[in-house]
Amino acid sequence: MSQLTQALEIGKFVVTGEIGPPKGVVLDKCLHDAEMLRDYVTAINVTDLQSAVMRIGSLAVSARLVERGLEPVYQLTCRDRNRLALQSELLSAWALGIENVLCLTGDHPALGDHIEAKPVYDLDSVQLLKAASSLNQGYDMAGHELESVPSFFLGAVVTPGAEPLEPQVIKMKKKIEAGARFFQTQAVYEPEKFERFMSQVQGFKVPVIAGIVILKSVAMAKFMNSNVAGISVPEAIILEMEETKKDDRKKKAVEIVARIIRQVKPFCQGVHIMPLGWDDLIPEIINQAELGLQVRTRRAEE
Amino acid sequence: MQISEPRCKILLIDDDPDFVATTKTVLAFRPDYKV
Repeated sequence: MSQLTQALEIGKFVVTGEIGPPKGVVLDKCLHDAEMLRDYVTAINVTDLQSAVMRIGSLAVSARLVERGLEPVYQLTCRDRNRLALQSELLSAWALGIENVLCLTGDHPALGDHIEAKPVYDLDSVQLLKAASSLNQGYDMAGHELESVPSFFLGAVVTPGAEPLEPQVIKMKKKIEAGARFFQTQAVYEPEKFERFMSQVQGFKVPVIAGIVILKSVAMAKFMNSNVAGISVPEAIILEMEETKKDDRKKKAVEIVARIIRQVKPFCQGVHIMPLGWDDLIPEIINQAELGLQVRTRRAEE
Repeated sequence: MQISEPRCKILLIDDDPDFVATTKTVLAFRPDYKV
């Protein structure tokens, strides 16, 4: 059983991190980023061609994390593979020691760097979850029995800031019925909206890990507001960043993220911090967010 | 049933007519909506 499964099952507040595989074959930088997170997170998400940009695959990088004694959350999207490839890749992941899988539909190729690529979408996230759950029960999508059986811990995503919220909640329920046992959310910048979302999905009784993206610049905040559905960085935060000197940008980023974590913590079962290269800020974020107890606990366990 | 819009981020594969109808309604007003 993965550490993430154990932690969420006993109701522990978890911290997960994230790394993005590179566009190339040398993994030193992303493995270094993962090492920076080692003492502070329960598991590390490995993105699957994030934003539909061609890179090395999440399977290879996840396997390298396993080799190093780090626990990956292997992200798998439906954009580039049909049901044969998806199921085969899941079996491969299990054979490589990967237990946590985050099932996503995936950003459309039109958003990435190969806009002429053919989108596959034979399945979407709900059907992928059903397929993975079926593998867990010993059968493939065609109903054929497996010779040996994996035991994936399956997760999915949800966007708490979406307007309207209703389709998100309906699809979240479908994902749970299909086998999702935890959720990681799109980035949260409005704790009040997150609280409202959580009050609607509380009855589902599935752990929700709030997504936190470190804001690196005003331009980034404005870009997300214009281009990422379901994310809204409030004007007050943008103003706060505008008034910050360039040399103090990292300090301000830590302050904002830690504040958001403190505000959402009472309503969720963990935070998923996406550092986007600013991995060195994670220890200070955890300290300022008053999550220090977890860090000490993990160190004590080791 | 599959709804896909090559230019934007929405993609839904679902056989639940109510959910498809809800999503289509949302898309009419919010073409960038992602489920």
